[in-house]
Amino acid sequence: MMGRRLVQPVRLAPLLKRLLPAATLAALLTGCMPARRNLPLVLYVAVSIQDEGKLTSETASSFRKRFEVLVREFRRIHPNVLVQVALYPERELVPQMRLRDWAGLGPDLILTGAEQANGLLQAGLVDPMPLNSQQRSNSSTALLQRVRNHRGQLSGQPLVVFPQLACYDRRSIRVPPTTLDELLESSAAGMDVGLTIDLRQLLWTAGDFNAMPGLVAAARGRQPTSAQHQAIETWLTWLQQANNQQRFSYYPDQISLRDGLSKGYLDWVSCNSAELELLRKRMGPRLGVTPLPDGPSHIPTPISRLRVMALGTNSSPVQRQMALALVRFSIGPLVQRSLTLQNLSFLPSNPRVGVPVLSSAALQSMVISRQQAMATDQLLADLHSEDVRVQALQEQVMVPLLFGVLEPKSAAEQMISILRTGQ
Amino acid sequence: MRDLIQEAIGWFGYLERGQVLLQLLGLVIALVIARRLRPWLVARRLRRRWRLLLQAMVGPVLAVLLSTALPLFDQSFGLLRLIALLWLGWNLLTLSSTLLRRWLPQDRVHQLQSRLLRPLYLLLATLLLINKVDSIRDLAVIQVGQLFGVSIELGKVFTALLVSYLLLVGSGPPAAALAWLAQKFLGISEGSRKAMELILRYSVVGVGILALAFHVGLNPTALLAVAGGLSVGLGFGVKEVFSNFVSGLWLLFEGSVRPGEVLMIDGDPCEVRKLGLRATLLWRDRDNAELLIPNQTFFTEAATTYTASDRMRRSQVSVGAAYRHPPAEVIALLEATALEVPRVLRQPAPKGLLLSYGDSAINYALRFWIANPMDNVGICSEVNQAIWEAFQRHQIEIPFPQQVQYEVPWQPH
Repeated sequence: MMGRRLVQPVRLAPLLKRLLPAATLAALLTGCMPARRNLPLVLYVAVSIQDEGKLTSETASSFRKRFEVLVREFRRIHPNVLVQVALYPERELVPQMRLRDWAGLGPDLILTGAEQANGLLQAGLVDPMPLNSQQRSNSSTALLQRVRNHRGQLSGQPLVVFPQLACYDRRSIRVPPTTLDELLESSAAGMDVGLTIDLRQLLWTAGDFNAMPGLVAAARGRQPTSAQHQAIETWLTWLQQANNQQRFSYYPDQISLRDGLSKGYLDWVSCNSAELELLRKRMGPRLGVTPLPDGPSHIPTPISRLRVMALGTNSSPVQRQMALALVRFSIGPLVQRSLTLQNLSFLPSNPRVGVPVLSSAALQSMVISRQQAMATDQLLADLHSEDVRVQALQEQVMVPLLFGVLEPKSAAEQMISILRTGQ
Repeated sequence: MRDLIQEAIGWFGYLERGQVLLQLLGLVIALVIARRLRPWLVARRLRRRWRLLLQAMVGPVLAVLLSTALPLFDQSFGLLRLIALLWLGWNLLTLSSTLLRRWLPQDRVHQLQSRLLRPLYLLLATLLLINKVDSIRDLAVIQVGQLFGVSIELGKVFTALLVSYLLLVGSGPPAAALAWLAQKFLGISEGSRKAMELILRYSVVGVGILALAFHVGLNPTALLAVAGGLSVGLGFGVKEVFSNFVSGLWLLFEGSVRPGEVLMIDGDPCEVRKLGLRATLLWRDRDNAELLIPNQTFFTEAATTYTASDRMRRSQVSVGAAYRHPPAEVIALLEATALEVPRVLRQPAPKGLLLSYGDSAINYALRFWIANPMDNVGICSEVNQAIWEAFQRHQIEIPFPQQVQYEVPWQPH
C-alpha cells in the first residue's frame, strides 16, 4: 500500500508538468487574466480576389496597399490589434474556408463579393452580420438588400461598390463611343473592341435593348411578355452579329481584356473599376475611363460589384468584438470618403458620403455607372454567381450563341427556360 | 522576407481561440497516453511486427477518436484530425523501412528514407498545416527580393529549391534504369553503363537547373551575366572545385577512369568505385581502404591502368634453384606448375626465365597472365605455393645463402 501511494505522485508529476504550461497559456490567451486587455490581438482577414484564376504578386500587392490604408487608420484607435490578411482566388475561397472552419482556424472577417457572401452564409461558413443603428444609418438600403437572405439575415456588411465601366486607350481613341452604334462604327473604322463571353459581364448590353425586365421576370419564374421576349431576342441578335465585325472579339475572361488593353492590342474594353489601379499602373495617362455606351433607345445596365465584410464563425469573443469594431469603423463616413478619394477605384457604400465627381472623370463615370446599375441589382439578388442557372446559361446559351452555333431565337427561348427552372 | 516572418508570427494568434487550444490539448493527451502505453505494449507477448504496428497506431488512432468526439460538443476538430493523420503517416513511413528491406539493400532503404521520403513527407505536412492557417497562394507571391531587375517570389524560390533537390536526389534511379536498358540492348560494358548513368544524371540536373532559372523569371541576359560573374569567380575562388568537376566530366567522356576500372595507386591496384563531382572514390583491396583522390590528379598526372583495353594482367613470381639442377628442367617444371593453378590463364601461356646466377642459387622468374588484376596478390601466393610443392616432389632444392666463418691464422697489424 505504502509503495503504491509513493509511486502514484511520481507518475502524475510528468503529466502535470506537461499540461501546466498549456493550461497557463490557455488561461492567458482566453481572457481570464486582467492583463488580457494589453496583449496584442491578431485579427485574421480572408479576402477573395475576383476574376483572378491565379493570384499574382501584382494583384496581391495592389490589394494589400489598398487595405493597408484602412488598417493603418484603424490601428490608431486600436494599436494592439494586428491584422493578418490572406488572399484567395474567388473560386478557391469557399473550399478553403470550409477546411479552415473545421479546424477552428477560420478567419475573423471575410472580405468578398456580395453573392459569394450570400453563399457562405447559406453554407454556414459565416455568421449573420448584426446591424446596429450606426451601421443602419451608414448603409444603403438597396445594397443591404443584396446581402439579405429570405430569413432576413445579412451575410455581410456592404463596404464598397465597384461599378462596371468602359476602359480605352487614349492613343487610338480621342472621343470614346457613347452609343452601341458608335462602338460598332469605330470598330469598323479600325478600333479593336474586346468583350468577355461571361454572361454577367455582358449584362450591361441587355439594358441597351431593354431586355432586363424580361430577364428579371424569368429569373423570378414568370413568363416574360411577348415584348420582353422580343427585347431579349434583339439583344442576343446584336451580341451575335457584333462578333461578325472583324475587329470586335469576345475573350474568355476579364484578365484577357485587361492584358489586351494594357499591351496595346485592344483599344476599347468593358472593365471593372477594381481593375483601374492595375491599368493605371501599366498604362499611365494612356488609360481613358468612361461610362458604358447607351443602346438605340435605352441606357446600359452594368453590374456593380458589391464588396462586403462577413463575420467568420471561429472567432473568440475578443476577436469577434474587434472584427465588428473594424466593420463599423470601415463604413464610417470619414473613412469611406478618404478611402474613395485615395484610391479612385470604387464608390463608397455609405449613402451619406458625397462623391466629388467634378474632381475626377473616373469617379464621375463610376457614379453614372452606379446609377445605371440599380436596374441589375434585383437580378443579381435573384441570381448570384454560384447559382446553377448562371453556369447553365453560360454553357448552354452564351457560348453556342457567340460562336454562331445557336440562333438568337432559340437562344432567347432557352435562356428564359433556364432562368425559370430555378423557381 | 520580413513579410513572411510577420505572417509566421501572426499564426500564433490562433492560440487565442479556445477551440484551437482544446484540439492541442487533445493532442497532448493522445501523446501522453501513447507514451504510457508503450512499455505495456513492449511487455505483451506479441509478434514483433504486430507490436510495432500497434505502437505506431495507438497514439494517432487515439487522437483521431478524440477528434471524432469533439463535434459532439459543437467544437472544431479539423486541426487535431489533420495532425493525427500526419502522425499516423509518419509512423507508417518509419515502419515501411522494414518492408522495403525485403526488396532493397539496407543502405538503399536508409538513403531512400532519409534523403527522399522523410524530407518530402515533412514538407507536405508543413504545407498542409500552413494551408489551415493561411493562404498558400498568397504566401507564394510574397516578393523575397530582386535579382537582375526581376522580382523573385517566394513560391518560385520554393519550387526551384524543391525541384533542384528532387533532381539531385531523384534523378539517380531513372538514370540508372536508362543506363541499364542501354546495356541490355546495346551490349555496352559495365564501366560504360556506369559512365552513362552519371552523364545522364548530370545532363538532367544541368537542364533542370537551367529550366528552373527560367521558371524563377531570370531572362537569358541575366543568365549570361551570371555566367560572366561565375567565370570571374571560378578564376579566383573556386578554381580547384571547378577544375575537378570539369576533369571528372572529361574523364567520363574519355572513358579512362570509369567505375570498375583498376588503377595502380602507389604500387597497389585499386578499383574505381565512384566518379564524383569533385573526387574519385577508389577501393584498395590490400587493406580495404577507400581512397578519395581529386579528379584533377588523373587529368594531370600519369596513371597506370590494367583495364584500358582489356582486364588481363601479366604477373610474375621469382624463385631460386640450386646450381646442380639443369635450368631447362627447372624452367619446364615452373611453366607446368603455373598451368596447374586454376586462376592462371592458359593463354597467353606462362613463361619461365633464367634471370641471373646468384651467390647461392640460379634465379628464375615465372611470368603468367591473370584475368582480374585485383586478384594478383592472391594468385601469386597460389603460384608460389604450387612451386614449393612441385620442387618438393622433384627434389629441387631452393637454396638459402650459406656463409662459412673461419679464424684468421695471423694477427692483424
